[in-house]
Amino acid sequence: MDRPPSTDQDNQADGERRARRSFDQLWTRISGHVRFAVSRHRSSDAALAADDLTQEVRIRVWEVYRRDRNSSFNASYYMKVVNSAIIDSLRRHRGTLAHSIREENDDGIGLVEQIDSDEPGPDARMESGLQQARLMVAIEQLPAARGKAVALYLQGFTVAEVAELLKCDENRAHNLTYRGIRDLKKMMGENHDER
Amino acid sequence: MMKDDNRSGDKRLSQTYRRAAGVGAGCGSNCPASTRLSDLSEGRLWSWQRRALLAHLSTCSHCADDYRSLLSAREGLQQALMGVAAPRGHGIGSWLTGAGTAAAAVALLAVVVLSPETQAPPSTPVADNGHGVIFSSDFDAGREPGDSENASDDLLFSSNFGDNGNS
Repeated sequence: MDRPPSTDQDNQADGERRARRSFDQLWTRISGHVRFAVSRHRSSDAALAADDLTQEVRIRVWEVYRRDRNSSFNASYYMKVVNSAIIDSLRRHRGTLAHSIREENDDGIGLVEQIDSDEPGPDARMESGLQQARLMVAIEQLPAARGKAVALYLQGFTVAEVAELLKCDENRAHNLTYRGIRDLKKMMGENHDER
Repeated sequence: MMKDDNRSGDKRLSQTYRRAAGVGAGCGSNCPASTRLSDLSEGRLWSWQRRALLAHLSTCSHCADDYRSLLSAREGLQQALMGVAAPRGHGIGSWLTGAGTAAAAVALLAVVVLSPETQAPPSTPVADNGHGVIFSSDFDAGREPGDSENASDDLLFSSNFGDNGNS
């Protein structure tokens, strides 16, 4: 039996299949890293949300990959595509229930578990507000370089990350942060060094 | 004990700061585009752009969290993507399939073997690893990959004031 001559549609479908196969290879290599990125700062019980976010990133990268399949693979370009997809996905889900688990308190208890806990009273809220205002004023009083390093450190960046962001070596970042935090504690009336 | 006190003190300060800075504003119109954060993580920004982004990251807890997510996966992603030289269906890789691959390999081997330029004159010193093949790594002697790991020995302070490296 003669095979019917291949049409443009056949060729297109064949190309699509090849692209999908090669994309699957690419995704196998990067999916673990993507999942790690979207899972960071999350509780372990937020696994489902991490899967959702990873899937969103996959779809976004596939859309770019499919359009781009006739040009040579550019790792740097795809780094940007993947990074943007991760950020956009995290932003899109901010405020949803699963995402709010990221906002954990001191004891690692998510917002969901806090619903039944005691709400802080007006006094505690006011005290907290005053504390925040005092801290912001104290940071402004630090020398500029220390203030920058301290602000980034308090946002959760490690000293190594602060060094990279400030484009300085790690020792300098360590000194700036250490001295800044020490001054801050003095100004805030917490003499931790003397305990 | 004092270290623990320092850590809990740092954590309290951090929580207070993040509450003051973040204030649940979320990512609004003032937040940078995702591509801009990606550029920052790859060092592709001018210094004035970087400074502006740093100022934002210092005051927006959501963007700071997102950026830290990028940093946590950056190295692994870079390595994984660099390993994808030319997957099938992309560029030159798309026509190197099946019999084409074998034919191309044979032709390439023939060109390399028959080319007079690939045969060094006897007097030319070459780096040879004993198998008759020259590797670029044979010229890299003297590099100590572990050198940078001792950088922490040079720290001026022994206290890490709560920085445990995996914030």
